[in-house]
Parts: sequence; C-alpha cells; structure tokens
Amino acid sequence: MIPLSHYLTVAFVLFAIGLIGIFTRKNAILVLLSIELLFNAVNLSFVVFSQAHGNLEGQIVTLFSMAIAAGEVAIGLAICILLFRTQKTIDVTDFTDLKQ
Amino acid sequence: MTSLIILSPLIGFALISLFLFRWKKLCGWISVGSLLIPFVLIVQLFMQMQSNPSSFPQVISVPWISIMGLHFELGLLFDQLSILMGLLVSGVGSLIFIFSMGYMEEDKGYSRFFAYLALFASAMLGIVFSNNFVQTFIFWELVGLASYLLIGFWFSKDSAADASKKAFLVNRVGDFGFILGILFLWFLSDPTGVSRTVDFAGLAQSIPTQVQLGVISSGAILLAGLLILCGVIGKSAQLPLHVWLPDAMEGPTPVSALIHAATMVAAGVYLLARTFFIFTISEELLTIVAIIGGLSAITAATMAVCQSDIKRVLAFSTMSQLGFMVLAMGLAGPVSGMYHLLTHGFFKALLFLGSGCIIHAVHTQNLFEMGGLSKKMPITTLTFLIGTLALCGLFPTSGFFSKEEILTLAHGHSMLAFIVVLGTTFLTSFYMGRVFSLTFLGPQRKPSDIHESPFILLFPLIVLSFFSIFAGFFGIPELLGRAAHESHHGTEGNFLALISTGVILFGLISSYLIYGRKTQSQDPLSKGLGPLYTLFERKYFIDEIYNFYVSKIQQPFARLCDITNEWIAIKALSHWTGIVVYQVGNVSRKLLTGNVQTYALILAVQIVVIFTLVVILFKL
Repeated sequence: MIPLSHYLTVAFVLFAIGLIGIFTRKNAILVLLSIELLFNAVNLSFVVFSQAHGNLEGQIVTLFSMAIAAGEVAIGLAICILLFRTQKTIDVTDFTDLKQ
Repeated sequence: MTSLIILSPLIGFALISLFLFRWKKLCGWISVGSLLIPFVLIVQLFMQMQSNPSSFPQVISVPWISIMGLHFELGLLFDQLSILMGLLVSGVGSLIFIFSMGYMEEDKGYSRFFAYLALFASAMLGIVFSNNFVQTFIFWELVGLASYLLIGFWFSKDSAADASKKAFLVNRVGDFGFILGILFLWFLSDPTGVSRTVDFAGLAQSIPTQVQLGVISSGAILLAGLLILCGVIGKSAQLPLHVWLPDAMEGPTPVSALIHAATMVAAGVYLLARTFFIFTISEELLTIVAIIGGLSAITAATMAVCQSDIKRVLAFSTMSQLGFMVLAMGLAGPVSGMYHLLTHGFFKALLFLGSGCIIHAVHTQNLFEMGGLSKKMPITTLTFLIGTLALCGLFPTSGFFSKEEILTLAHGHSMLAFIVVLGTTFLTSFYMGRVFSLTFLGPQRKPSDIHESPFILLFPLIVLSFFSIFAGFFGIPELLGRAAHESHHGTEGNFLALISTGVILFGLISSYLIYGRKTQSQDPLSKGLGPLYTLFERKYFIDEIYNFYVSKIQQPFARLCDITNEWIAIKALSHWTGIVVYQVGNVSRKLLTGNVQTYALILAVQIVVIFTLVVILFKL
C-alpha cells in the first residue's frame, strides 16, 4: 500500500509545476496547459482523500471538476484564437493594456 | 410700513446708483426724499408715543436664522431712546442732505455723493432701530463702509484716500472687540445653551438674573463690557482709537457734519446707552468708561486749541464733547449723556455746515487766512455765533442745559471729574472763541471777493440755529424717560451754572483779547506755550507712536511671519511632503507592468504570505 503522503507529494509537485508555468510561460496555450496541471493536481488530491476517508464524495467532485475544466479549456482556446486574430500574437507579455 | 424707515434710504441708494446716475438734480431730490420719508414716519411714531405712551416700547421683528439653539431676528425696536435718536438722525440728516445739494453743486461726483449719503443714512437708521446685537453689528459695519466711501469721496486726493483707509482700519480694530463682545454676551445670556439670545430685551432680562444667581462672575461681565466698549471707542473716537477722526476731515464738509454731528460718532454713545444694562452691573466697568470719557474730553480739547484748520478744531471739539457723553454714561447718567448727544447733534451740525459755508466762500480751511467775514456774511456769522455759544454751553442755549446736567453729575461724583468737565468747558469756550474771532472778526487777511451763501445753504443753518437755541426747553430728559422731579435744578444747580458761565465767559473773552483785535499770521500761543504747543498741535504724537508701532514693530513681525511661512511652512514642509509622495508613487508605479502574469505572481505570493502568517500567529 502506497502511503497517503506520496500521493499528496505528487499532487503538490504537479501544482507547483502548474503555478510556475503560469507565471513564467509566455505562450498563452502553455499558460492554459499549466492551468490544466493545477486542475489535475487538485483532482488527484480529491481522489486520494476520498479513498482515504472511504467515501465517494471526493470522486464525484472530481468528475464535476473535469467537466468544468473541459469547458474552461474550450473558452480559453477560443480566447487564444481571438487574440491571435486581432493581435497577431499569443505572447502574453505583449499584452500590457492593464497598465494605466 | 415702519420698515420703510430703513428701507427707504436704501432703495434711494439703489435707485441712484443703478439707474439714475446721469440725472444729477433728480439724484439729489431722491436722496433727500428718501430720508424725509423716514423722518415723517418717525415723527408719526413720536406723536403716537406722546399720545399713548403705554403702548411703547414696540418691537416688530421677523425670524431670520433659526437653527438649533441659534435664533436671530431682524427687527425694529421703538422706544423713547430710539425714536428720539431717530428723529435727530433723520431730521439733522435731511438738513445736511439739503445743504449738500447746494454745497456739492459743482462737483463731478454729485450723484455718487448722494448715493453714498443715502446708504449712510440707511445704515445709521438701521443701528438706531435695531432690536438685537447682530443686526446692530451689520449696520454698524455698513456705517463704517459708508463713512469710508464718503471720507474718501475725493479719492484722487492722496490725503483723502489715506484718511478713508485710516478711518476704516481704526474702526475695524474697535469692531473686532465689538463682535467678540457680542459672541461673549450671546454665550453669557444662557451658559447652559438652551435659550441663548442676542436681543437687547432678552439680554437686559437674562444677564442681570444670571449675575444675581451667581452663574456669571463679575469678571465675565467686566470682560464683556470692555469688549462692547471697544466698539464704542472706535466709532465714537475716544482715546486711544480717536486718530481717524481729525483725518476724516478730508471728506467734503457736509460729510464731516453728517459723521460728526448726528450719526456715526453718535452711534457709539447710542450703543452705550442701549446696552447700559450691562454697564450698570459692574462698578469697575463704569469707572473705566468714565475715565476714558474724561481723558478724551480734556485731551481733545487741548488738541483743539492749537489747530489752525477750522474743520480740525471742530473735529477735536466733537471728540471732546463725545468724551463728555461717555463720561456721563460712566457716571451712571445715561439720560444726561443722551441729552447732550441730542443737543450736540444740532449745534455741531450747525457749526460744521457754517464752516462749510465759510470754506465755500473763502476757499481755504486755514483759520489764519480768514478774518473779517462778519460784514460779508451776516447770516452765516449769526448762525455760527449761535452754534459757538451753544457748544460753549452759555445760557440759554441748548448746550447750557445738557452740559449743566453733566456738570452736576460730575460734581456729585468726584472732584476730579468736576475739574475735568470744568477745564474742558474752559478750553472749549477758548478754542471756539478763537475760531470765531479769527474767522469773523478783525480785518480780512486774504483779500478776495466774498459773498453770502445762497439760500439753500442758509436754510439748514437757520433751522439748526433754532434748535440749537431752543432744544433745551423741550424737556428732552423727560422724553428720554426720566421722571420730571428728578431734574437737578436746586440751589446747587444754580451755583454750578454760575461757575460754568463764569468759566465760559472767561474763555471767550480771553480768546477775543488774544485773537480778535490784531492781525496775526501766526498763532501767538505758539510762543506762550512753547513745547506744549507743539505737543498739542501734533496731537500728543499719538499718530507718530502708532506709526512707529506699525512700521517698526508690526511690520518686521509680519515680515518674519512671512519668511517663516515661505521657507518653513511652504518650502520645507509642504514642498518636501510633495516630493516624498511623488517619489514613492514613481517607484511603486513600476510594479504595475500591465502584465497579467506579474499580477498573478504578486497575488500568489500575497496568499502564501497571508496563509503563513495565519498559521504562525494562530498556531494552527
């Protein structure tokens, strides 16, 4: 039996990689991918806790979460396409309109 | 209807200054008419009061400001004091207006002059009939403004412009004390703050009660009285705020008559009479009032002796007579003070208008360039003589009766006061004899073509002469509310009258002997009195002392304040605060890159920090 802490360590590492990706990646699609990593890290911990406590609620939440993640990806990709059409780039560092 | 007393001249002022500026003759008539309406109304009120005295005092008022605990009214108060004073102001004022129509005929600013006169009359009537302190103060300031405009009427003349500024500023000094006094009295009227009031009637009721209950200390009353007295001193030109009065002679002569006879300077004494209920409470207060009055009376009289400008002599005599009135107030005789104020209003207006006629004829104000006018201007001479005798207080003129009241009062009080009054009486008769001798008697010093003044100038003189002689027989003290049996005409009164008549005759004759017979281009007194003469002529150097204070003490202090303000408050504090804020902003601006990722990072770091802190602090 693999102990709980191993699963959680994997989830933490996944979450950290996702965060770092969000902050450092310049390509909008890769930022989206990193967000997916966050989702997966959280989903993993849900499943693991569900197993550990012996009920199914965590797994049900995971199913919802995956559905939402699918929707989010669809919207995110649509945004990326629109950005590329209007700005001819999807490099997020080029968008500084929030300044001033 | 009665509010027209104040509004009518104000409307006249507005009409002239807004619409009718071009029609000179019309402006004069409107101005005179707008003051005659109040005169008629006040006469009507006077008749009512005579026939039905129990229905007075009357108060007509409308609420003006009413916020929690703060109630001000605009109102008119009709009682014996205000109606008699109103009669004097509007009556003598109308005569002066009529005189001005002749006197100012050739002046370019004719319409402007009458507009100002109407404003002045309105403000003065406002003071007289006001029923509360706040309204009094408003009109008090309006009188100050109007006098500023009138004294500086010939503003292209530097001396006139300076004089008007001086009058205004000196008055402001007094008025500052006055408004503090009003605020303080308002506070004292009910220290608990439930029913505070600035009404004369309300204050007259509440202040003595509070004092009796011991809520207000005698020190507070003393302070309040002194603050009110500040305003009185400023307006009535008493020591030490008298300096504006001689300079105010730069205005046209009718203005001098208006300001010095019936109105502006009288306002101070009138206020003293109106607020006498405060002064009676404190013995010390009355003593201070008496000392100021007595000192002003005697110093002004000495200054008047050595002036060579006819109007300045009259100005100082006004100050001296006002000193008498204030002295009478201080000796607890408000009726005597007001009595002298009323009679003085007649004969001082007469003297000023007479001097106006003289100046009109000889085109100089220097006494030593006049002389021998009695043959050329008989009516002016006669009326001026009546005014002179009334001012000296010779029987049977009105001045005799009112001065006798004050003399009796002083005699009953203390030897010092009696000597002051008697000494001033002597000086008064001396300098008035001097003016009369130099102007009308002796040979003509400056040969020129001199004629009697036209009728429009003489008419007011004749009317005023009538009142100067006979005002003593009208029973004014009784009209002012004194019971008839209280008047002081016993053997003691006769004795005093004899003494004062002797003193007056001595003054008149000695001045005639010195000035009346020979031709002098210079004052013989200047040799006789030596350095004292210079002291009197230069008005005890009070102007110089004030000048020294302003230029050597106040001005450097102001400059020091200016530098402190410039370099510490502005440059150092506020400037550097600005720089610091600017730089902080400049640095923190860099944080806002507009890059979403940076924002997200900052957010994440903040969350981590907050969670860590929560964990550490609450030991979760």
